Amino acid sequence: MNADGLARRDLYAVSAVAALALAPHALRFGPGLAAAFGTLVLWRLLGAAGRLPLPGRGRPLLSLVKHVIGIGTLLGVLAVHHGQLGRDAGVTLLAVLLGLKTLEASTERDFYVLSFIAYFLVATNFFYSQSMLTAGYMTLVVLIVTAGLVRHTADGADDARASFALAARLVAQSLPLMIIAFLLFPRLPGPLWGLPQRAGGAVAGLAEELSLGGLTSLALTDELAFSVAFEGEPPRARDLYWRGPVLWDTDGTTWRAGQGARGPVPPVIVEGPRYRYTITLEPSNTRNLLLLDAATNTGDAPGRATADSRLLAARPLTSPVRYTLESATAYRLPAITPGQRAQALALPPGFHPRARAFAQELRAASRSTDDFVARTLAHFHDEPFKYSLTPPPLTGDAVDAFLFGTREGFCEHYAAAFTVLMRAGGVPARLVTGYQGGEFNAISDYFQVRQRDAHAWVEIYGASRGWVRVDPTAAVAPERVSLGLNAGLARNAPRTTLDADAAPLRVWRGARALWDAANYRWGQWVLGFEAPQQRALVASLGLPELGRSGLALLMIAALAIGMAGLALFVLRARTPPRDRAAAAYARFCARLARAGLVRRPAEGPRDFATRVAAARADLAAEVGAITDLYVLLRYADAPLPIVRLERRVRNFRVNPR
Amino acid sequence: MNALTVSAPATLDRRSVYIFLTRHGLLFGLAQLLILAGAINYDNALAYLLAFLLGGLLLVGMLHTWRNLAGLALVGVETRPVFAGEDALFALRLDNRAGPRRPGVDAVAVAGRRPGWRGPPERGAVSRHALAAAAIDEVTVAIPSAQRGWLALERVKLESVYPLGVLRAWAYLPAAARCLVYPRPIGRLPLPIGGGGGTDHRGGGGAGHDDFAGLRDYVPGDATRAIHWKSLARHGEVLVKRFEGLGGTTASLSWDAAAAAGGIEPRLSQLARWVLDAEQAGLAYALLLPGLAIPAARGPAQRERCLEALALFGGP
Repeated sequence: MNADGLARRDLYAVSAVAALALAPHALRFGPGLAAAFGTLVLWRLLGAAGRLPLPGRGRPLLSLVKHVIGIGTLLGVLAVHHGQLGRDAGVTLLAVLLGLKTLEASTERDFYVLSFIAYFLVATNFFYSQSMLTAGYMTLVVLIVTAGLVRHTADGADDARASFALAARLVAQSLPLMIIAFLLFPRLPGPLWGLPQRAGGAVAGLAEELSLGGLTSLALTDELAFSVAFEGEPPRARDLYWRGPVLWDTDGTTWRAGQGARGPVPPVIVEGPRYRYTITLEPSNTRNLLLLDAATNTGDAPGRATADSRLLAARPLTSPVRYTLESATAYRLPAITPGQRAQALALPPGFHPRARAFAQELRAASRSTDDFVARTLAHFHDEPFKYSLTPPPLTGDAVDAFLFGTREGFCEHYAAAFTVLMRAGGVPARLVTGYQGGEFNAISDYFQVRQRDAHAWVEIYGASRGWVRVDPTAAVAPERVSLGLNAGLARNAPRTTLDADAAPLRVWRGARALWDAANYRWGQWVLGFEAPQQRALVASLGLPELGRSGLALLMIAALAIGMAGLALFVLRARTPPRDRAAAAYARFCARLARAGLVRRPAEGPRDFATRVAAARADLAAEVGAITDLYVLLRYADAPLPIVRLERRVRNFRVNPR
Repeated sequence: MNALTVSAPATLDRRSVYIFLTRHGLLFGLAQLLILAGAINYDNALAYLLAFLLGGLLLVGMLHTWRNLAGLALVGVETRPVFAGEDALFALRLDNRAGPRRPGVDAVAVAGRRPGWRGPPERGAVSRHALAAAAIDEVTVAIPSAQRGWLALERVKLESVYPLGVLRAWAYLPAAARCLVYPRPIGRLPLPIGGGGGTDHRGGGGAGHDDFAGLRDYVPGDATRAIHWKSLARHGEVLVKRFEGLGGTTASLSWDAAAAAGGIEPRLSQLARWVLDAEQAGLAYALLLPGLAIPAARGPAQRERCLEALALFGGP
């Protein structure tokens, strides 16, 4: 069964394109996937070349091998993924199925099936990465698959280049329809099946719990957490505290959110400017909707506010979201329930004895709560505490070991220790995690907050002012807060040899800022286009609020208009060959005219050709040939390809004498 | 003798080109639905875009597939007579002077119904063509001929799945051409050679015994024993031996002389065989049929005249 209905050319094309579509998955899943797929395809290709027997009729043993591979893969994948056919398992299975399908491909139908599986593989890549790079690469794959279809149907009449050119034209003409459908297709809420696994690669969001050390890995990744565009003047960098999970409960080593989020949402008493801003949040697979400090108006954020001033989405965020809201950075939150107060003072019995003793001592020596807070911060500042992303491990009671032993750590150590000290001194305190600062992109006027900007700070409750933010890290490394992570580290670390202002570095930074700006727009306009943006679009068209069916109707109407436009374009009347012949002849005459051989008005083409031949013997042959072709096409309406005349005219040169 | 039927141009206009999904097109649609389901489930913008791009491709492909046939005009059909059992060939002249290049165009000839024929109209084999842009192109379709007489080409079905294979456009071009089918030239009776009325039978091998007079190109219907095998083996050319020497003799191919062949059709076949043999032998021959007498002569014109008379014998 050597490629009877399946041309060798098609087999090669479809194998190559499947490999292209699988390549990113192979990078993700390691060499096993590539090896399995590659072996099966290689078997088929060697079979096509007659080097290896292929499974099929009359070769029961090889067919058995094939089935064993298929069933074995299915069972293996199910075993590895604990019986769940999720995203990873699906992709692995698809890759092996594609290999097996290639192995048994022998008919024209198989060619089509393989091509369509390749299209589907493209989609599976998007479930892992939606970056511009992925989109660009996958566009190329789609073009190649389409070119394969074109080449197959042309049945030898189109070569690879012509097929690719037509495929590109087809895809380009599909773009308007794609955009219409993308903008107007009614978005359905919720997953259709199961809970989707996290999308968007290995993005680490802020966890709902914190144990000392957990923030280190986070702090070092450059992954984008979210982008923010302020309407009007943004706050100062040191005021950019992006609120994430608020942690109330501790068991001595680990902090958790606990029940603090329950209860009425406290009012915010604003004591400064309000800032309106739009956040484009990358998928984190958590429910955290980051916001600036305390929201005065949650705008269109797709979630609800909590008693500890967080914003929580209804379900884990697996795709980018965009929302606009309003916050203040100077404010009071004067509300605490008895339950919250109890939580904000609770310490696990038997833990942190030295810290407790120290705090109580300090509190006794302080005149007021404010004084106690100031003295505690001063302790961090005056004693040899050091800001470091790679602190020595803490043994025994983590907080005591840090406060009285290593004295080296980063924001979470300081925040956790400070919270313990506050609670021990009788001041209600809670630990807030989130991000601090952000990188301003001047090209597009927005901030980018990356995972390395992750931060932890403390909020304490004072009877007069309500919840107030205290950032103990600022007492140790103030630059960390005002200038960002690298500045905070620089205080302890020797200066690196690379000059921060060197020209190559500036160019690199500029290029990166451009790339970031493009990514930002990409995230905002493409990936973050969801139901709210769709509503805004419909409203901006001056249409009333449409339901899902209304949107669907609008989409169909717009598609029909788009199709009509495309039909006019694709089926536009072509210039009849007669006119094309006249146009080509005119170009030919213009070329001769430049050499001084001007056709007289009312001079027939043949007469003109004779005159030219007499004047320039070197041109006689070519001029005669072109004139003959022209006369045949123009006056005899001869069934000759017009391109023959056009090509000759194009190549016609009059060499100066 | 080539017959060119120049019919009124039949142009494939807007309404005469139909289009629908192929079997593969249904699979393509299924793939799109799966991608769309994934897009909804994972709330994935790029998967949405891909699903819609493929949907757009289907719609745009519709225009291109349709365009691959629309606007073609049939301006003439050329045929030449064949012997029953051979393929009747119809060379269609398709006017594509204002059209694009059209690769992957499949053509099938649909025969007209013969009187008394039940069942679907006969069709020829599918042939695939790539029509040049802005030109008049020729496409040959075939219908197997089963019996003598006129074989009408009623229409030509054009089909194309270009450029994506997921949609098929098809259209019927009314053709109204016909091909003359001669009787199958078979029969074992010896060539009746004689002076006049065809009573003077000369037995034996007929043309076989005469003087070799050179080689000429093979014409369908020539006896295999006349083929000059040496030149076929050496040069790959099919030539047949020509004999002369009976130049003065006349063969009288009469209905009665062929009586031994059997019924009407075997007799006509025998007569057709004789026409070919006589022509090959360089004899003058006359054809005598009930109600028709063609005087003795020789040469291609005589051959065709006689074969046509045999083909249409008894017909309307």
